[in-house]
Amino acid sequence: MGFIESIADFGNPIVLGGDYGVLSTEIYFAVVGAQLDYGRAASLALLLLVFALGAFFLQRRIVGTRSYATISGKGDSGLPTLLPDRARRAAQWIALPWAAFTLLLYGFAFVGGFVKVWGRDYTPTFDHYTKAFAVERGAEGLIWSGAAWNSFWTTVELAAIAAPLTAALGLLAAWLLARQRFAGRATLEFVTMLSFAVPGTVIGVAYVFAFNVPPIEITGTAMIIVLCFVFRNMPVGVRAGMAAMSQIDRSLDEASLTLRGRAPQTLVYVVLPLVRPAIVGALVYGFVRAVTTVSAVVFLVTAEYELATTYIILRVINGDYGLAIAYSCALIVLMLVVILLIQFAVGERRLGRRVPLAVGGRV
Amino acid sequence: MSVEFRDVVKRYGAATAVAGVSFTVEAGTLVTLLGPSGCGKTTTLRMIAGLELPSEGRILIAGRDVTNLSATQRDVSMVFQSYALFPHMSVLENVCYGLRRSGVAKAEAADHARDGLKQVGLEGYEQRQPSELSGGQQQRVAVARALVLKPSVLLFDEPLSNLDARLRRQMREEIRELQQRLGLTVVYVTHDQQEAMAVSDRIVVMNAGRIEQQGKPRELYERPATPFLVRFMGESNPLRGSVRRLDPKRVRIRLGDIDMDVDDSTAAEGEATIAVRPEAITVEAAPGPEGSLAGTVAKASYLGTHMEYSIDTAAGSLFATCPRVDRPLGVGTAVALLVAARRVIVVAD
Repeated sequence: MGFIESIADFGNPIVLGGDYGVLSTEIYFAVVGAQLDYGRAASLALLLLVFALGAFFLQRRIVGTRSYATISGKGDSGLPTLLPDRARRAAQWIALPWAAFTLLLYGFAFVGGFVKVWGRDYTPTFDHYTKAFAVERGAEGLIWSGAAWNSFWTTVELAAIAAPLTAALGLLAAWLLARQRFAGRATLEFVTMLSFAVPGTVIGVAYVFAFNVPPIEITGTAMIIVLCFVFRNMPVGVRAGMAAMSQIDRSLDEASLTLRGRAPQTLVYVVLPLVRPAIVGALVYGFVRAVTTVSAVVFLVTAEYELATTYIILRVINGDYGLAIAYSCALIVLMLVVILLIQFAVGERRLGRRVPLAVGGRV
Repeated sequence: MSVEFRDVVKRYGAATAVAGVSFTVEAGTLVTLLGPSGCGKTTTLRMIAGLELPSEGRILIAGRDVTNLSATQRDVSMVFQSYALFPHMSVLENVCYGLRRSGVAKAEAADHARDGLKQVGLEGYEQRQPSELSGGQQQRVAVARALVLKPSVLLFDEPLSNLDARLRRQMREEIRELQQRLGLTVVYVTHDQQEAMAVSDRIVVMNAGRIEQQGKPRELYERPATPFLVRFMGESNPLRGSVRRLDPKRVRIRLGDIDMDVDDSTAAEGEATIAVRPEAITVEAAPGPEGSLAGTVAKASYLGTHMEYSIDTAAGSLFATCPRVDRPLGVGTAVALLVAARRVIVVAD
């Protein structure tokens, strides 16, 4: 998974890479750059695809399939085992510096938005934010005059459409795969996972080529971006859903069936309430990925449907780091707010869990 | 309502779980499917529920062919081994679930559910979560949840296996009492022959996907038809002996140096395995009366309610129980064994 993510990563190398062209950025420049060489882009994409799929198959062979059931019908989910002291310290030694490093990076980014030019002129300023997110009071109410508003609202709108679709389709697929028996089950599972293994850049190129011609001519519309988001991010919903569902004892489904609950009712009343963490996960992931993804959509955006990330990339390419940083911070805040909203809306799973101190107190 | 299986076969790929099974459960009776693990009893039960569909044969419930109906279309409820209570719902919501899915209005469903909880003695527990209940209470909720649908047939899959010994006896009595009070048709799966004998009107003993024998508990215990049944239904001492037919209904058996006449209409003459139940043996201090089997105590254990002895005899080593705990016999004591012919079984080899 790490390998696939690294080889297919686009956003980071294009900002940081400088002269080190990696496959995905090469593809990008082959399409949008001066070369305008679609053939080159397609063949590079094929190469990238071969690498990523190779890693994908390797992973499937090694990991295989296992099943764990932890939510049983006995209504007692048990207590989490405490880690032994040494293991806990070792985990902390690894995790805490990592967390500190991450916080530091975010700190830099946050501060970077409030200074004139990072690295040269540290005069505090709100310039970048006003340039990006200025709101003026005009004759007909508020005027969203900031440079970033257009792409910001497009991003929020498309991500807000895509996230529920992603989660719904992902969980539905997960349920079909984990709980229903039908012909072609293995094939469906493979296909849903496959789109995760395909690098975003490759998907972007494929979408442009596929939907640029009749019968489905949707290149340049918002629909193609939403479609791309949904199918690109669905596998995570599928995986999270399958993992969560394989933890639910099958006898709960069967109990619902023998109690006259048909399969869809069983899904709604029994399975979904028990996989709330997976629903939150799929929604958050669907939204965050939609907001942050770069690779797949760089080919799909237009002036009308410009997205935050592509806008930021363009600012970086133009050397306008201050605005890019300010915008990025705004996105981070947006995503935090949305994650909290989703968690609040879906709610926690209420499972009776014993209070740890009361062990052995019951008959 | 009655349940009828006609030559039902269930295959999973190349493996056969149930290999041609036919039986009938009369309306208003409790029939147990009994057998060791992997004998196909749970698969058979799941086929009644509609959770598995048979590969061959027909299944009839109340005279109606339900072979290809799904679980939701059958008028059958099931109590699962794990209880399968919905952990995110209260007790009342759990019991209401089946009614609500059948289209009963909320208030009416809640009324029925309260009645159901009353039947199993759980009034006042409506708002509890399943995790706040003990194993026996969870079991009762599962029973109430199945009961409120007033199913034609109620199924129990090893309902007592998660309870401790004391609670097991109490729950099995409650289940039996409920079944008789409400005149329910029940199919019950267990691997415990004592449990089966205690609750059942009839028992169907299964082994390796087939029915070994079916009948009333007493018939199975006193007249087991196959060597498997002799081994599986209760304790017995398998001994070698010879059989000679006296008349169509009686045989004379020679065990070691004693002869006894046993009711039997099927056994062939010659060498055979003779099964003797431990409770058929009376242990006396030697020398015993005429016709007793001489032996020596090899092991003795005190179990509170009775003594258990291993006794070496000319016919082989015998396991016997003795209610006289206040006069135990030590190891090495010479004893005389009286064997009650009524509890001696000639096993077809």
